[in-house]
Amino acid sequence: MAEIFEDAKTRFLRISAMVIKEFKSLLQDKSTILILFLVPLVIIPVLATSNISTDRLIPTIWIIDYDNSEQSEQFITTMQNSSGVEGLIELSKIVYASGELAPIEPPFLEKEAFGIVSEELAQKTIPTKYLDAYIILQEGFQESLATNGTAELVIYFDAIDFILMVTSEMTVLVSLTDIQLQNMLLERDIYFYPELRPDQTDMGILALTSSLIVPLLGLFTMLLISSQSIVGDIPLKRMLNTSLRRGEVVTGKVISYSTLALFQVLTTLLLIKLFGVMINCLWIELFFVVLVNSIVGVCMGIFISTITRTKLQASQLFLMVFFIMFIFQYFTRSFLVFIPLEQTKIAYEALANRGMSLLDPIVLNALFKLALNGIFYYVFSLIYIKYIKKRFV
Amino acid sequence: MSLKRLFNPFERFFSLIEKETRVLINDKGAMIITFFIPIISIVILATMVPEQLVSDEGGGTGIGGVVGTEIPLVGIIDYDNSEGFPDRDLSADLVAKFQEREENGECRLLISTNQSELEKMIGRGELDTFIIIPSLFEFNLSIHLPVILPVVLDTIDSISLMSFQEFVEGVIYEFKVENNFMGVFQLTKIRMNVPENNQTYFAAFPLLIPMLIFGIGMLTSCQAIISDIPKDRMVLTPTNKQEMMAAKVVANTGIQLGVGFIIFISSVFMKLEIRSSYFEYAVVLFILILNAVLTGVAISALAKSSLAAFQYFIFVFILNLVIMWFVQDPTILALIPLNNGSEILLQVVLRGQSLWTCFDQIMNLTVESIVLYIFAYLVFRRQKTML
Repeated sequence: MAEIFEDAKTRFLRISAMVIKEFKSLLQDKSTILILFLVPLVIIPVLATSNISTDRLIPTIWIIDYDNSEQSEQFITTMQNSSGVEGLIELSKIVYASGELAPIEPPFLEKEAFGIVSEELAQKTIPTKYLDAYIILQEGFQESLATNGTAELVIYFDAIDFILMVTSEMTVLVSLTDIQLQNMLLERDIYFYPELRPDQTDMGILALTSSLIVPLLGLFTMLLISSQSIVGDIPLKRMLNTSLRRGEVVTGKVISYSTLALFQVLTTLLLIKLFGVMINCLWIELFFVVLVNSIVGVCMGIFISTITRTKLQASQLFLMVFFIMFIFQYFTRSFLVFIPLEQTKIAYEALANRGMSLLDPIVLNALFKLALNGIFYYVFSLIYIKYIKKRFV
Repeated sequence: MSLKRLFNPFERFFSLIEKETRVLINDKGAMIITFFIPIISIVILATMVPEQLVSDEGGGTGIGGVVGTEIPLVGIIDYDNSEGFPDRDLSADLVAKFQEREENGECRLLISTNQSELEKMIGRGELDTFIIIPSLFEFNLSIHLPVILPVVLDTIDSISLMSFQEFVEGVIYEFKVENNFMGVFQLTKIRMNVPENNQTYFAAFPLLIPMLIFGIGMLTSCQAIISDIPKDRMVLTPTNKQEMMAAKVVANTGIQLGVGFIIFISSVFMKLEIRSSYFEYAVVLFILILNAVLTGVAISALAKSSLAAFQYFIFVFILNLVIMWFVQDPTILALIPLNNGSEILLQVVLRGQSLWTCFDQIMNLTVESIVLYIFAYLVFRRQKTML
């Protein structure tokens, strides 16, 4: 029994020495530490002071009028003047009608060019950024409205920029609703009316994105810095000739980099609080979740550092991990259980936005998956450094 | 290096390029990963998501698959008891439409009579959206009046919000078409320029490709000066810092052109529908690569240690991403290479506009590249101790 205690004590001393050595070498490189804190110190104020703007998403719509009737002219005028349905939804747009001059792609050396709105020109212009949608008012538009109470509209949308296409479709639908209401044109229809919970219209960018940004900053900065920890550790080879065991290197590094992460998380969350982002849970609970996220980043980084042979390899592998995680989280939405950022996002949203507690099953589940990711990388780093890794710098 | 080569500036320069390239290529593991990153990213995008994101026609917003393939949790509450159509219960038919989708595995459905329960569930994230079928739904439709269908959406999960909204809109649109509830204006929506192949790759292209180029280019070249051990000795030879710097830029650009080539070939292989010529596409890639390399070299000149260079990289990269995604100020965006690159790829390569129409963005990138090069050189020249 005494031997076990003695062994644990010497192991503890060796790991402590490793942690102290790691801190000393990290603190020697002051610029590295500075940048680690500079990342949240710059990015959070940038987000906090930015305003939401939809200028880029203002669609340009052309109306090609083949009816040339009083009703079609009224349609065009209402479409041009409508800014949405009053009291419900407001959307900006730029509308040009048949015969008007609309901006088109300028020829070489000319700053701008204009063309007369027509179907032929619309077909040519629709792939470019100068036109997002065009509406055809067919011959007999007025007559159809008068006799049937309905009229056919053909609308062409450009689908190259998907986000802009969504905005264009929504803008056209809202404008058509406004035209019907203003002219008391009523017919069987089902209007999809979205109600937002919570209503985010008055929320700032930082409040809207904190569940994405805070985990991202913590995970990737710690992942990158710790991905250089073993592969860039020059004295490590000599140290392994002492009584220091290989597994203890990994543990020592995880502890020292996690301590560094603790201060970074603290800075980030203090900034979040400072800029008035609403946190509906105990601050310490959120701190815990974000810290676990950063520790998982450290474990992943150390795993990368263990399996690579050069600093460049480690950094490239970091980038590959970043891209794979990014694609899985934002595009394919698959393998999310293996994406620490997604698990942190779930836990963060549940705590900070939904006001749950750390003991809530949703939070615990996400936290468990997150921790499992970290443990996986930690254990594999131990196995790799102990049994597989042969070369050190 | 022979003496003859050493004293001939051109030969010396080419030798330096050769040396820099060899240093990079010697790290085979790093080079394999470098070239593997675009391949794996493009392959995942092209194979792991549904081929068809948007149809040429159809309802909804048409962007569901772009942001995910998750199954939404949908709640329905039916307040309608009105009569209007003989032998039909319209609200029940609408509910049945969602049940059909549930049977196909497209959603999970919760039919409830308690709205506050649904509100509570959406607040806890246990439900993604719920639809309220209002009273007089059937009656109003029967007398040729429009009805408003409130759809409550959970906005906290911002990544999946759009795809869930699309799903609900799609089902409602289908119901409208089947029952001819198309309102006063019978819309025929036609989506132009919808790519036939690999729509997710097409949608992600203007965002992902600049990220890949800037990420890989900056990260590799951010070690160009700081990690170059023999450069202290080289300063003692006739080689000057100007040549060393230029050689580093050329060698790193050369390696990154390999990455550009892989992206280029992958686009052809994945049948990316571009509207520009392949020459214009290659020119755009070259402009982006050069800017990425010069940013990396500037970081390398500025950093005092290899780790600091990586830290600067992550700072610049994340700052670029955050500003591009969330900051809308045009003056700030003009300074962000990722945003300029994204705009040029979208407007020129995907839309087929001339390079001239993106003159501002190209100029921004060019001026930035020149400024970065001069800055990097001045910092590099002032450095006394390099190791």
